[in-house]
Amino acid sequence: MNGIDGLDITNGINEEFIASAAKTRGARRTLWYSLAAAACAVAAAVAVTAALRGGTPQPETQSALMPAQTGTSETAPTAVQTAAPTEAPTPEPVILYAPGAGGIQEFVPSHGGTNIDGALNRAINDGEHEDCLFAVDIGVTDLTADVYEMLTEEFLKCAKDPYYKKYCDIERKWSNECRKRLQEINEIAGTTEQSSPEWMEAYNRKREEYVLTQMDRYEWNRCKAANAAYHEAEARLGSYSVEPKVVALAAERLDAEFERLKSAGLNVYRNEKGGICGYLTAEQIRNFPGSTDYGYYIIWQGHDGGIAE
Amino acid sequence: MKDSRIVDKYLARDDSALKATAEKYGGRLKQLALRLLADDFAAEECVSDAYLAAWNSIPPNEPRDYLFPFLARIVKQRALNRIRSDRTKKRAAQLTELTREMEECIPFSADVSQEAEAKELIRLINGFLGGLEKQKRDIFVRRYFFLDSVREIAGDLGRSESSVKTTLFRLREKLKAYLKAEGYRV
Repeated sequence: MNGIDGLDITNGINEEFIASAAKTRGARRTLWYSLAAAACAVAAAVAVTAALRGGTPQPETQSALMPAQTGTSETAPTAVQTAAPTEAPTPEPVILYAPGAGGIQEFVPSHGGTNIDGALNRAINDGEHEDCLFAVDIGVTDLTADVYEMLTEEFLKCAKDPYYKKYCDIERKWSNECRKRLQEINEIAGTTEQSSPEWMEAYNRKREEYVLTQMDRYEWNRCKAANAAYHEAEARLGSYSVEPKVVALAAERLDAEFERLKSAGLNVYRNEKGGICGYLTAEQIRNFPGSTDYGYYIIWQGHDGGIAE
Repeated sequence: MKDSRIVDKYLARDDSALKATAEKYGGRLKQLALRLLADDFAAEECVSDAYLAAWNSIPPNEPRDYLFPFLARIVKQRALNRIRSDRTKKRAAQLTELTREMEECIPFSADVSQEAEAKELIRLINGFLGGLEKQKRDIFVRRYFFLDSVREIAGDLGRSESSVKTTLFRLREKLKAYLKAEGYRV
């Protein structure tokens, strides 16, 4: 028989022994939690016992928590009356926090549109934390991606407008021409200070004169309008996310997403900033039920003094 | 979902039992298979086989209290069979160390292809384990059933790695002596 056969033989180990050993896997991480729970249970039992006796312990009885007294006491301590044993509570799952400050330390694109940190990704796939809960922040991105797409389309339409192209062409020609006419503009403006309103007025007048030698007024007006539309679309694209209507839309969609995740069975809550947080199992993170409309970041929360790997 | 509820689903031939099993134990079972096979796909296959085997064997079995050990055994067996059938493939590095440790304490003379002899050996090993104090037994089972690393065992039990290694060494020596006393030549 060889080593492989030996490992096969260990398959015959008694289920009770296997189940007992299985409980120790990840046990140290639950140890403090169990001790804390046990201490609370004992303290509660002592309080109940004292209340039942009218709150004043008799001299011949002792608290179950205190060591037995020996020596010169006149009254020998008798056996402690303890409350009847109750069924041990089902231990709560351990909550795991990230080692260190948490957050995205190593970007691991995964799970379709869901991105999670490398440390969290390792922890949920190592098979050792299936019974634990991970404290996470759930970032939802692209809440208003459809609005952005629409604005992008508008912007691109403006950029492709032939009148905008003509505007850019004529502006290039004028910038060359302007260098030849700089002195003339300075004389008309009565100043060389190019930021002054007088200088800008003279500049614009001379530009207009030049442009109208290259195209008629109707075309020039069309070009100016196309240029204005382009810059307006560009500005909207840059600042759309802070437009009140868009902000309200994003908030509304985040609320709906929170409700959807909750109804999908995830233990989620909103933090003081309205962000979505939760206590998720490894399986829930691996199979996160993200919507195809949005992107997600699942960020492992850091917690000073928390239980962490 | 509690094991008992999952077993109820099997007994009722409710195929959501498989999903429930996968959700609760899929990760751990795969991890167990990966400790033997250095091949993600092969490990997945072993786990899938375990689900099918569970479906086919519950009933008559009703592992309400020991569902995970029940499944883990199947996964390990499948994985070891794969290793036997294809010895040229790369094995998980830890497997080499584990088999070496096993060979220190198991009898060469035993022919486990004979069911009766295999059963007798298992009976003796369980007898040996039953005589150990709980933590030592847990360490042995974690190492040789769950194939946990020394580091993992030490971390979970709050002991140093050298302490766990020493315990394992002594347990193997004790098992060797125990089996010798039962007439096996190791």
